[in-house]
Amino acid sequence: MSSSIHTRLLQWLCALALLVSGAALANPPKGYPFVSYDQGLRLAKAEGKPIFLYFGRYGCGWCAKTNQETFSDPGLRRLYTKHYVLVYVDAEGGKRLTLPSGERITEMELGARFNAFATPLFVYLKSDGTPIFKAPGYKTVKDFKQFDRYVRGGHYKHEPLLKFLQEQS
Amino acid sequence: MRPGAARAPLTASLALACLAASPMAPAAGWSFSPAIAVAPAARPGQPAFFHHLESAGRKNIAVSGAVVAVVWEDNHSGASQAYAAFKREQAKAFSAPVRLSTGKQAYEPAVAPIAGGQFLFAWEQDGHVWLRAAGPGAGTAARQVSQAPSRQASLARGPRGRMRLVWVQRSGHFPRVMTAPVRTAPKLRVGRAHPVDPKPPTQSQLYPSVALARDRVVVAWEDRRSGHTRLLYSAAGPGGVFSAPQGLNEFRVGNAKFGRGTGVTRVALAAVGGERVAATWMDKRDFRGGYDIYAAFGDDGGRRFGANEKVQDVFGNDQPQWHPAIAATEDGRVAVVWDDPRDGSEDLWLSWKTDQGWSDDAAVAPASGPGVQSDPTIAFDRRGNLHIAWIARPTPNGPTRILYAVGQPSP
Repeated sequence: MSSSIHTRLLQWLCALALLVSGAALANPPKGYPFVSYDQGLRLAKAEGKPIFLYFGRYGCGWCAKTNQETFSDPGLRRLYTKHYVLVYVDAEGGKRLTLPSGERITEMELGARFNAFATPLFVYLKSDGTPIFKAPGYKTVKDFKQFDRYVRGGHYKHEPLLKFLQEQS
Repeated sequence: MRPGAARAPLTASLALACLAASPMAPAAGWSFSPAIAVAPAARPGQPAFFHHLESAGRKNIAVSGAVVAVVWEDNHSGASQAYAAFKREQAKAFSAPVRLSTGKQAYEPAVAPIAGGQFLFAWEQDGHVWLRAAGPGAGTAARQVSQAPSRQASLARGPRGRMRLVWVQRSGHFPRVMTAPVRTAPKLRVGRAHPVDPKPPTQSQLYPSVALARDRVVVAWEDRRSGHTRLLYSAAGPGGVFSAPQGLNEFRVGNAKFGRGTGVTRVALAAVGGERVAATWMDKRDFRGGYDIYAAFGDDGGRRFGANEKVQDVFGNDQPQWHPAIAATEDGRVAVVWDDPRDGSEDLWLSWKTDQGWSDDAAVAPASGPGVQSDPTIAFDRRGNLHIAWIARPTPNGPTRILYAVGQPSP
């Protein structure tokens, strides 16, 4: 079995496990193969993809609005599912994950270290886990498509996000 | 002048000067000892390992007689395990760590004092809650509390030596708050366990905390049954029957279409003496500054809690607060500690209840300055000294140390 097929199978198994476990996640958008943070780091390294990290919270209004109005877009779903390793973290969750250092921490503690004090918080990371930028709050389909161009186009290496967005508008 | 004020920004100092000129009576402060290490840290060249002071209700330190115990989890053996260390009042250092857990992995250990320098410990081990008593000398064997998957244990000691354990246990699809009385003499014995809310859970119940008032048991926890996280509490009298759960945190009714709650998490309880019980938690009702620290008091054995009170002062309003812990004495002292980055580094901040409300926030001097000081846990001794332990690290993901200091009330 090729590495790519293997990792894809792992992604779908993780997504299936999350669906049947019910309470394991707070409320990520439907139809996206989100995985845990540590699984995501492994997958990103194996596939050489950037990571899209979504800090949500159970009952978070702006998360629900983003899920319903933005992540429901089929084109956005195809774009992000194809090009990113998708990670969802319940910012108040007690589920444990392992950092690359070997440290075991809870989802909430990961949120504290990313300073995820307001949700939703979207963090783009390189495939090695290095943060690129953080985007807090409600976002539109257009926002996410611009963020995608900024990340996958490599623009973050040369200019700040705000300058890039001004040039795009 | 409050401790730590010298480090506050100029605007804060000016505002403090205004407050000092107000008719409000100044509250006493705290004078802390220098910090000492609780547990060995990784030495240069050693594989990195990490300590965590984490438990439901943040009960990782306790004082029994003239002995202080700190309990934590670290992975220095290659796997996460629960450890405790002890310090007699006059000793300059903590004992060598005593490993409490006996399985493959252990997390989130909690402690409560028994008496005479002995302590009761609870932790999660290989997916189940375990318990043992120990002190600087011998201890009991570790014993498993629940056959069902369980975690997030917390403990409390009450009047006449009553001990109580709470934890969450898998019930159908969801974790459910359970409780049981514990006897430690003549031998360790866990009484009948039962759910705090008799209704089967329809969503997760998480991170319970327990306090024992005069003849009552109060339990508070995070509850997701309403479509968002609420803090619920329930109290039981001598008959052992818990009241119907009630809401602890005040909240605005959210938008039913796009989420219902503003966010509350990690409640911690402490018995204040008599029928009084105090609660603290992280609350994001003003989400722009992240979590704030709130508190409430129940003056009738936890039958009903009063209005929510904001603990932190105005200088912390635009910063997120994390990891609140609470301690109280039988004669009515209450202190809350947490970490926040208002001075440019993650430091420990302390506030205590006064006749006028909550004190100005005081920096915990040995837990302030460069690096990260976080995850505090506190306990009072019988003389009103405040014992505190915390995690210190040079960077947010750097190597850890557990440090300890004791604070004395200053006039």
